[in-house]
Amino acid sequence: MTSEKRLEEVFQSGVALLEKGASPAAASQTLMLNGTIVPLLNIVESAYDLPRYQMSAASKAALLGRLTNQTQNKVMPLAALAANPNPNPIPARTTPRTNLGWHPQLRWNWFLRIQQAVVAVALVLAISLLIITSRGTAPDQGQATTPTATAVSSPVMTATPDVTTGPQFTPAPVITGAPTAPATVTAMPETATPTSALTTAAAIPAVPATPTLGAVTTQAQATDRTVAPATATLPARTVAGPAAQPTAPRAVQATSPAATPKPTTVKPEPTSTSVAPTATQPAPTATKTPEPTDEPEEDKPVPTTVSRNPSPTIDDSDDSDDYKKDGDKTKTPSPTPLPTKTPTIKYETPKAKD
Amino acid sequence: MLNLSDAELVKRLQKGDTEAVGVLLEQYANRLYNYAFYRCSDHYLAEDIVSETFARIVEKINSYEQREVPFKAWVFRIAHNRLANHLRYRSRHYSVSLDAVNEDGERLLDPPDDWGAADGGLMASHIAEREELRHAIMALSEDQKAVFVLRFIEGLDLEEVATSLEKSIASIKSLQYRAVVNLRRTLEQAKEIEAAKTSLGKKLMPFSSRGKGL
Repeated sequence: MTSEKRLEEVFQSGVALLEKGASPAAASQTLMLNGTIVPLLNIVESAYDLPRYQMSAASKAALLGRLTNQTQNKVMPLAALAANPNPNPIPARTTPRTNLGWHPQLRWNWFLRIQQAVVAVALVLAISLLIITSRGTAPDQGQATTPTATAVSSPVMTATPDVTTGPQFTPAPVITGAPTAPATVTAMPETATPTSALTTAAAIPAVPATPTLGAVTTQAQATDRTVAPATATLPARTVAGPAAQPTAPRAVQATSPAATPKPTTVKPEPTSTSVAPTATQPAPTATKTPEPTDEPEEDKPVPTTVSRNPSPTIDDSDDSDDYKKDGDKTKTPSPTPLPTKTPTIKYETPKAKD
Repeated sequence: MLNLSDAELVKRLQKGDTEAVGVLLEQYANRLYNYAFYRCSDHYLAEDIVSETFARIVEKINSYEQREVPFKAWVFRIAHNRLANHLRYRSRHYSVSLDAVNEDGERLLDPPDDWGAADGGLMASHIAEREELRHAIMALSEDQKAVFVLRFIEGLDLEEVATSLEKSIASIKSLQYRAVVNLRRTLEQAKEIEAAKTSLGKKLMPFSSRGKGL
C-alpha cells in the first residue's frame, strides 16, 4: 500500500514534468524513475497526441443561430413564445425594458393562474365536503337499521320524567307503595305463625316471617336517601311475643296505599308492589314495650316526586327481596334499561305491520 | 472573431451581447465536443451534449459568479452533468455496440470524415496505436475516463478537473493514476493478443500457401 502510494506520488511528479514540456525519458532521468513509471508516462505522452475531434461546421452554425435567438429572447421568453406563432424569428422586445410594466401577455398569464387557483380551491372544498358528508351519514344509516330504545318519539319515553337531570329526584317511585304500606307482623309465640295486619293484600303472597318471641318493633331502615322519606311513613311493625328474637329477616307485605288503614299523603298508585326487606336490614330488636315509634311521621308528606311518578317500569313480578338492591338501583338510576323495553316493542310493532 | 478572456466573455454574455455567443462557441464548442465524444463514443450524443451545454450556459449566465468557480470549470461541469444524465439513461434503456452501423452501412460510433482529427496524415502505425489507446480509454470506468480525458486530452489542471467533477484534488490524483495503470494493462493485453495472432498467422502461412498452390 505504501509502495503504491509512493509510486503514485512519483507518477504525479513525472506528469508535472511532462506538462512542462519534458519528454518521458528526460523525466525519468530527472526523477531517477524505475521501469514501472516510465511506461505510464509514455501513455500520458501518447494521450497528448490523441486526435481532437471537432464539431461539424453545419452543426456549429445551427447551434450559433439557436443560441443567438435564445440570448435575444432571454429577457422575456414568455412573450417571445406566445406572441410569435410564426416560425420567423421576430425580436420579442420591441419596447425599452423600463416601459415593460404589465405586459398584456403577463396579465393574461396572471388571470389564468388565478383562475386555476380558484378552481383548485373549489375542488379541494368540494372533495372535503364530500368526505365530511360521507363520514357524517354513515353512522346514522347504521342506527336506522337497528332502532334502539333511544328513540325519543316513543310516547312512553316522553311520559317518563327525566330522572337524570333533576338533582332533587329520588328514585323512590321505583318502590312506590311498598314503604308506605303499614304492615304489622304479629308473631304469636304459640303458633309462631306470622300474620299480617293487612289482610286486604291477600292476593300478594306474603313471605312468612320467622316467628320471634315478644314484641318486636321493626323499622324499615333507610338504606339510602331515597328510601328514607318513604320509610318514615311506615308504621311500626310489631311482633308480639315476650321473647322475640331476631332470627331471620322479615318479610314485609306491602299493599297498595289504598288499602292502608291510615291515610297517607301518598297518592294512590295504580300498581302495588311488595317489597321484602333485605337481609341486610337490621334484625328487629326485641322490645318488651312495643310502641309505634313512627306514628307521628305518618303524616309526613311523601315527596312529591314519589306521588307524581307513575312508575311504569316497575315490574311487579320483580319482588326483589333485596330491598337495598332496589335502592341501589334507584340510587344510581340507569334510565336506559328501563325505557328500552317499551320503545323497542312499540317501534317494532309498526314495522311488523309494515 | 474576437479573442476574449473568460472574465470578459462572461461580462459580455451577461449583458446579452450576441457577438459574445459566437466567441463562446468558438472557444468551447470543439473542446466540449471532443470531451463528450471521448466519453460516449457517439457523435450524435456528443452534439446533443454540446447543444444542451451551451443552452444552459446562456440560460444561467446571469447567475454565474466568477469568484466561485472558474468559467472553464463551470462549462465542463455543465457538460459533465449533462453527459452523466444521458449515459445513465442510456445504460438503463439501450446500448449501442461499437460496431453498430446505420442503414447505409456506416458505423454509428465513428465520427464522419469532416469531424475527424484535424491532424491527419500520420503514419499508419501511429494511427493504430492511437486507435488502440482510444479503445483502451473507452474501456475505463466513467470516473477514470472523465479524469483522463479532462486532464490529458483537454489539458485542464488538477484544480479545474476537481471543480468540474466536484471531487477533491486527492481523489482526482488517485483516479488519474489508476486510469493510466489500467490503460497500460489493457494495452499490454492487446499487444499480447496481437502477438498471438501474428504468431498464429505465421504458423498458418505455409498451409495457406500450400492451399493456394493446389
